[in-house]
Order: sequence, then C-alpha cells, then structure tokens
Amino acid sequence: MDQGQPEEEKSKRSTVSRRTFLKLLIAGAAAVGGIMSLDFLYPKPTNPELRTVTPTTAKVTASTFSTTPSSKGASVVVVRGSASVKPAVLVERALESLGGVEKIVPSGASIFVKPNVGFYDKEAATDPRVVVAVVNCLKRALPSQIVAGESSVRGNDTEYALQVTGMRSIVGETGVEVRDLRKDQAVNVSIPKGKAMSSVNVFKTVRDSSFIVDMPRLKRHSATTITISLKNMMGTVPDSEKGRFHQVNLNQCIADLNSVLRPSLVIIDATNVMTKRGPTGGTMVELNTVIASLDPVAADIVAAEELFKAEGVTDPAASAGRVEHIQMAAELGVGVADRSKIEIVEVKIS
Amino acid sequence: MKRRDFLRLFGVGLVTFSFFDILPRVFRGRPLVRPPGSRVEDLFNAVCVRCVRCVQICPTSVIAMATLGDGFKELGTPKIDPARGSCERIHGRCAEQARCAQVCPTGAILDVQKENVKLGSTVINTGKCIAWQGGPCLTCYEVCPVIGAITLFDESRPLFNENICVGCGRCAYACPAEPKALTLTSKGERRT
Repeated sequence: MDQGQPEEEKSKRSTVSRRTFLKLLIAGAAAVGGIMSLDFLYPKPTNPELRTVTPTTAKVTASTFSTTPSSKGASVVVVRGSASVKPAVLVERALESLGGVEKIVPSGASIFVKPNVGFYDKEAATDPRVVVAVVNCLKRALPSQIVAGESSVRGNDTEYALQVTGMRSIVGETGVEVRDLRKDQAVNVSIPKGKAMSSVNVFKTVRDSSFIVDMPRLKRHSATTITISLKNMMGTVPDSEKGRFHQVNLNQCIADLNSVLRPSLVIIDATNVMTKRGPTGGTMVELNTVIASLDPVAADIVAAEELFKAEGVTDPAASAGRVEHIQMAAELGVGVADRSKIEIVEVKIS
Repeated sequence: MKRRDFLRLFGVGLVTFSFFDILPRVFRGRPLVRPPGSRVEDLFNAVCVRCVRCVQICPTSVIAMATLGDGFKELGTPKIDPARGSCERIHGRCAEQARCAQVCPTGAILDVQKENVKLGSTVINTGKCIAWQGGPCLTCYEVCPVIGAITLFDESRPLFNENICVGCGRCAYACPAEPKALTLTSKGERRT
C-alpha cells in the first residue's frame, strides 16, 4: 500500500494512466476497425454478378431491326420430322418455307443468336445441334458477324452452363463465339411503349446487333405457364433487371422488353419438349419438330398450342390464348396473337 | 493500486470481449451456416486455422469470411452467405466433390457423401414474398435442385419443406424480392 505517497501524485498518476489507457483503447479499436475494412485483405468473390454492373446512362433507343410487326397477320412454319430426321434437315426446311435465309436476313447484318442455356441441365437448354444448324444457314446470308450469347438464371454460372450443356463446344465448332453475357457491359435502353418499365438495362452485345435470332426450347414454366421465344429474351438483361421484372410485373416486363428488343427471327427447338413441369424437372416428350416465324408472338401461340397438345390438354388453343405475357406482347404490337390471323404452314418430313 | 488497476483492465477486457462476442450473437440472433461437411461448432472453431482457402476456392463465392461482427470465436472462419451465391455441392460445379473440403488443411470441413449434405434449411417470410402477395414469381421453385423441397400451393405460391431442403441457398440467392423473402438458417444441419 502506497501510504507514503503525497495525494497529488497519487491522483495525477491514476488520472493520467486512465486517460492514456482510454486513448490507447480507442486508438487500438480504431486501428483494428480500419485494418478490417481494407478491401484488399479479403479474398475477392469469383461471382461476376457481385461486382456491380453500372449501366451507361446515355439514353439510346434500340437499334432498328429489319422486320416490323404487322397487324395484318403472321405466318408460322411447323416442320415435323419422323424420329430419324436430323435437326439440320428440320431447320433447313423451316427457313426455306419462310422464304429462304437470304431473303430473311439482310446481308451485312450483325446477328445475335439467343439460345436458352439458363440451367446446368441439358434437357432444359436448346439442343446445341439445332443451334449449329441455324448458324450454318445464317452464314449463307453473308452477315457481317454472328455472335451467340446468354446470361443464365440468377445464381447459375453461365460459363459452367455453356460448358456442361455442350453449347460452348458444339457451337464453337462453327467458329461462332458463344458469349457469357454477364461479362458484357450493360447499357440502358428506353422503352417508348413500355407499360411497366420506361427503360431497361440490357447487355451491349444484344443492343448493338441488328438482327436477333431467338432460339428457345419449348418448355413449361412455373411462373409464366410456358417459356418460349418471348420469355427467352430475359437472358439478354443483367441479374438486377431480372429481379426487377419479378418485383414490378413479370409478364408485363417480358412484353415491354420484347417491344424494344424484338427478335427478327424465331426458331423454336421442339425436338424434345418439356411437359407438365418446367423450366426444369419436367417430362420430356420427343416431337422432333421445329417451329419458325418472323413473328415471336405468333410463334409462341402456335408453339404453346403444340406443347399443350403433347400434354393431352382438352383445349390447347384456348390454353395458349390464356398465357398472359403473350397477350401483353400482342397489345404492344410485338406480334399477332389472334389465332384466326395466323397462317400455319405445316411441313412433314418422314 | 496495482490490484485496482488490474481489476479495471480486466473489466475493460471483459466488456470488450462481450461486445465482440455476445452482442453479435444477440444481434444476429441465429447461428452461422457453415460449409457442407463442417465439424460440430465448437470443434469447428477450434480446428479451423482461418487460412481462408475455402473462401478463395469456392466457385460461387457463397463461402465468406466471418468478421468481428460475427463473433470473436468465429472471426476468420468460413460461413455460408446466400447474398453472395449458393452452394453447388448438390448440383453444379461441386457435384463430384466439395472443393472447400478438398482444400481444407485441418479437416474443419470434411468431404461427405451427397446424401449426407445438409447445410441447413430455408425459411420463407410470406409477407415479403412476391408470389404470396399475389404476383407472378416462382423463382425459388425454378432454381431449387431438390425435387420436393419446394412445393406449390394453388400452383402459384411456394411452400418449403425443411426436411427435404438441403440448405444450398439457391432460392435465397435468386429471390428477387427486396428485402428478400427467404432466409437460409442452420436448422436441421448435418455436421461431422
């Protein structure tokens, strides 16, 4: 016990030591906090979507596409092959029946091909052999370039999906690049006719193209009843937009998106269609069919009918007519949903 | 005096420790979700050497490093954060083998068979769910890799089965609602 020490010294020592101690404590906490907030000390996430995608704010209207929707009527080609007929043959006949690829695609066009590779499952993706067949036909129109691309369902890695479905390797053999759009820059596009959105962020590759070839696989879908060419266009927007679509109104947003990124040519892979449940886990039915059109709405109506027929639904046409996003797209002038105004050209190859 | 100072120091130390250990736990309210095949919690915190190799190797970045806010004992250990990604042990890039278990040098994470993988289970807040509020959304149902974990009420609203759910977090990551309607919890987790 320091009884011998004068009072002043005693209190001075304890005052200083407490103050100093507190200062040290705060300084120490600040130092630790400061070090822990240094970003470079932490491992970087490999998920590309975690790096914020900042779209350029310049308002640009979408590039003009070579076909304009007609309110008069639309033509849809349905090519059915027996089991032995190869996808390439189905595709060739489909494009022939539409007037021939040289007529449909303007020479010098910058083509963007949109297959469906949303998941890691082969059955859920567009058959790569159908995509190859289409690409080989498109080359004959002498385009300035052909690029294929996709951004998968939120949470799925597009690179891995392209690999595991064989899309990357099989389509790569044609010399056409299959791009993981998530690595692309996002740009803002205004939607003059938009009912749910006035503008949308899309990947630059798609916005910069002059001709979109939409190639979905014909499937059921839990939220939108079916997923065909209109729904397939969702792969052209970044994850944040996909989320926004759901928040605002999924069906209307799909319609709005298609009103500015309107596919010029739709080729639906109905070689093996997903019934009863989708977009994954459904029952696959072999139809060996390809459905093609210059009108995405008409194509979806006809394809939806085909799907419901394959399921044994009592009134397939009525069910197809009830799909919300197709009707909404028709209202925006994206295409013709009125069955009576759609001419169906049936081709059978045995 | 010395004793008094010592006691003061001890008191401050206790308060600091509590601040960084008990408060985060209270704040967080629930235990951390760990990578698939992780040892039981006490053993995990003891065995993990905080090398963060699992954080670096995870292909989806779902494994994150626990910070001071997660607790003193947990600091630097790996945790599953579905805000960053989802676990692909069941379906995807780690379907053959868990990469995190492969690189773990001390066996804090063990490579277990797929049938035994359960990180936890997801719970839904129907008040925040777009589908339950009447909108068209079934993103969780779409992305779920385990048939039966999510079923549909009225073909439009998701119902979660915590027994079948493996806690991969795909649904929680993909949920487009803001704020998210789905939370991945450690409930039902299988530890080694």
